[in-house]
Amino acid sequence: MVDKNIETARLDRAFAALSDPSRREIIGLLREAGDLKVTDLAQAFSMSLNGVSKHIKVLERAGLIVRRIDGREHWLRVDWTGLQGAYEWLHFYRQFWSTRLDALIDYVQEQKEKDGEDS
Amino acid sequence: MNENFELTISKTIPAPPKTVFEAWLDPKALAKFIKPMEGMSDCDVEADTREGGSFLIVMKAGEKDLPHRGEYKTIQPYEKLAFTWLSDHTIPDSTVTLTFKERSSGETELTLHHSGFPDDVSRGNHEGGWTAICEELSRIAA
Repeated sequence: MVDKNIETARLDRAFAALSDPSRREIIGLLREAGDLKVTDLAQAFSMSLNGVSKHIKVLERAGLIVRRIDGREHWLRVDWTGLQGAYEWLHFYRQFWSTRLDALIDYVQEQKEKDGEDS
Repeated sequence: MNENFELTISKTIPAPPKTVFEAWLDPKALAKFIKPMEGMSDCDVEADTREGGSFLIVMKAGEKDLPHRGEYKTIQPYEKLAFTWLSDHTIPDSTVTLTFKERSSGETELTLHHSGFPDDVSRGNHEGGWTAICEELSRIAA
């Protein structure tokens, strides 16, 4: 089960990276902005360039953001690859149970109609 | 506290809690509403419906059987039902908890909470981790 271990390690890194509130805020802002320069990010969070860079490195290693270098400017954007496993799980089961609960609604309605016919 | 994958879904079911609760424990009812899609064959359901009892639901996608197993953890009539849920897609130790609340209209507010505990990931137990993240993810994945 090598794949499963790799997947687990990836998720582990992603969730560890997101356990820090500042890093969650960085992700949140990037999601809204699309992409941002590292310097803009530092300014938005009133952090030193050094401080924000440390967080960015953690998020990059976790596969949550990607960096694009354009001349002297470093641009960042969100990349959810690192959270794919969690996404898939949530997405799969949200749909799975939602479908079943709708079918349950149909089922109780059919029963009601049947009971109505019987009585 | 364990950190976990989790999601919550609420729906209003147009029947009183007793009817809705009993449907979850009635193999014939389950066979109909727990199948993947309308129009597919009903599932084969075997269920020993008491706390500690187990169930087997075999969904049928054409010729392929998709077995789901679990064990009833809590059976609290018309209020709460909890069972483990294991399939090929589930990480081990996933649990589904259903709560049934009667509304003044006589309908049921059914809340489904599904949580899974990925064995390796949970060991980190990072402060403020999974719960907040999962809430966020649930919003995005919705």
